[in-house]
Amino acid sequence: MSEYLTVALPKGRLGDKVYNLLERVGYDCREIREDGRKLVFENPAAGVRYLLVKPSDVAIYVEHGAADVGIVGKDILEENRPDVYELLDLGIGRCRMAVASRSDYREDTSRTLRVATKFENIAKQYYASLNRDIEIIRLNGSIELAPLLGLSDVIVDIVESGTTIRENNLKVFTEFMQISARFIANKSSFKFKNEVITRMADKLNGVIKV
Amino acid sequence: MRSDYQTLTAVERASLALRELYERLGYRKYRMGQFEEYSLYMDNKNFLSSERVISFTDLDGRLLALRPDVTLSIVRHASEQPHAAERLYYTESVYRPSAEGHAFKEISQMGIEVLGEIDRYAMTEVTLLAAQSLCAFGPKGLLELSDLRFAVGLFDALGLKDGLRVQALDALGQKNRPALETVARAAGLGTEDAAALCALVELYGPWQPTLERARALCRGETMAAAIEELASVCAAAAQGDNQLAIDLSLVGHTDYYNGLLLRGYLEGLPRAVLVGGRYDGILKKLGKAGGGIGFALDLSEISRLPEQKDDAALDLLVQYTEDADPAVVARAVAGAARQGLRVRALRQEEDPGERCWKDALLISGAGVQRGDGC
Repeated sequence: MSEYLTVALPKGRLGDKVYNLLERVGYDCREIREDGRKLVFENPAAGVRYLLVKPSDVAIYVEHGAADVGIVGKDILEENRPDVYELLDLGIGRCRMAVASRSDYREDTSRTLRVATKFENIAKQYYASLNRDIEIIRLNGSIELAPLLGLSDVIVDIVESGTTIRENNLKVFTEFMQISARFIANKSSFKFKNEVITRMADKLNGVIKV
Repeated sequence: MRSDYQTLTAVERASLALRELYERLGYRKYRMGQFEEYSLYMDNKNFLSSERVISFTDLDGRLLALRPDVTLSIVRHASEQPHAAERLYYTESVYRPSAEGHAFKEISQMGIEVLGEIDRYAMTEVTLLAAQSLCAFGPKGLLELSDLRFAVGLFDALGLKDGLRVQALDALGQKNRPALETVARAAGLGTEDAAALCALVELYGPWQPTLERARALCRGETMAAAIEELASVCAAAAQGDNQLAIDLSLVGHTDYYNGLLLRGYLEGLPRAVLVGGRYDGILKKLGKAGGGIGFALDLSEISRLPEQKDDAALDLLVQYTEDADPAVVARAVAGAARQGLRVRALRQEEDPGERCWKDALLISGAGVQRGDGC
């Protein structure tokens, strides 16, 4: 097994916050910030190798051992339930999972509720807890369009500032899950690279504000 | 010269060595029928990791299934031994749904089961065999032990109710301290009790110091008994190359197991390759006397280990021209095979691909010429 600790990091908006956090605890990420198409970055001084992957793929890399540890949103963990250790709540990338619809929407409880979402499992689990009969409409993006075009009654999606919701004339009706970035570890790596993983977790734990 | 044994994969060689080890210790091979009655799984679905089972109607109208679990079948069919423990081993396939592939997958398993009167020695023997089984596969292995009674005993002492218990078990399995803190708040636990609950995720590491730390958390006889039993088993099983550790956040399938838990890892493989423990509840449910303990090795997962073998290499490449006598070619090939060499005959113009060879022969109508290795 590699001497490096392989860390799967998310690209995109959450990525910038994660690189800042890692740099605060001594894991240099400057190379990642430089614009380029590289997906693998090594930091020999810190003994880490970073893999830059799609946020929704971080947990897959970690579960299958391609990465020893990773940083991923709680929404992805709840949706896919990967078999990994969830060691820390990093307190960054905070947002909420919410039910939203047109601002004039009134729920008709006599009918099956049509729910558009990319978080199929989270939506099913939430409505099962309410014993509400639903029909899932699985979308991969621009979820906000669904109630505007009558494709669905409501959407279940992530809300951060609420701007996208407001700009599309939608309204949040319920927020039911707090989301933030989590530090996760592969179960086998945690056994065989325990010292380096624990060191990284301890350093991160020293600076996070939950 | 290459013997037949050397042509086996590392996993096949290790499996043979383990068969020998298990048989030397008095374990009998248990060969199951290919199918099992579907009702066995429907009546006992709490013991299964998934309710999804491949079922079909046999020609006589019986509803049968491809087994998703070996232990249930063995417990159901094995004969009871009064005042004794039956020792069995198996190599079988199980069929389980794969979450990612949205399809069933066949998993090759090898394992042992001890059924009947389970004493401290039987537990030690199974633990030793689990550790030795991991060692048989080459890379660094680690056997983790836990006892479900420790976490459950603490939940009892803290008065955790059903829903919160499920959440706490879920959080423990993920070593998720923030989630345990949420459970503690929801249960209205005081500072000391909340700290005790959250400390469970930290109780892992080398067996002696970890059990010492765990002793300080014990509340009641059940938890103390679990620690005492683990200490006794570890002391006896920590020998030779065996790498043992304790992880009391390991809780496993709580309907299936009721005491000692075993998880084995091999360096280089991402998930546990050995799963086992004490499962007295299954015997009780199936109306059998005594208890049960065992483990299963996931041979399908272990076979993913990188193998250092030169199966691309030939000892002898026999090339022949169009006018070569097939009988001469056949004699050359058969002679090399008799010597235990890996040999392949190819037409001279045929591409041997990426395969390497140590020696070569060129056979033509004019006779046999020796060639060079690649």
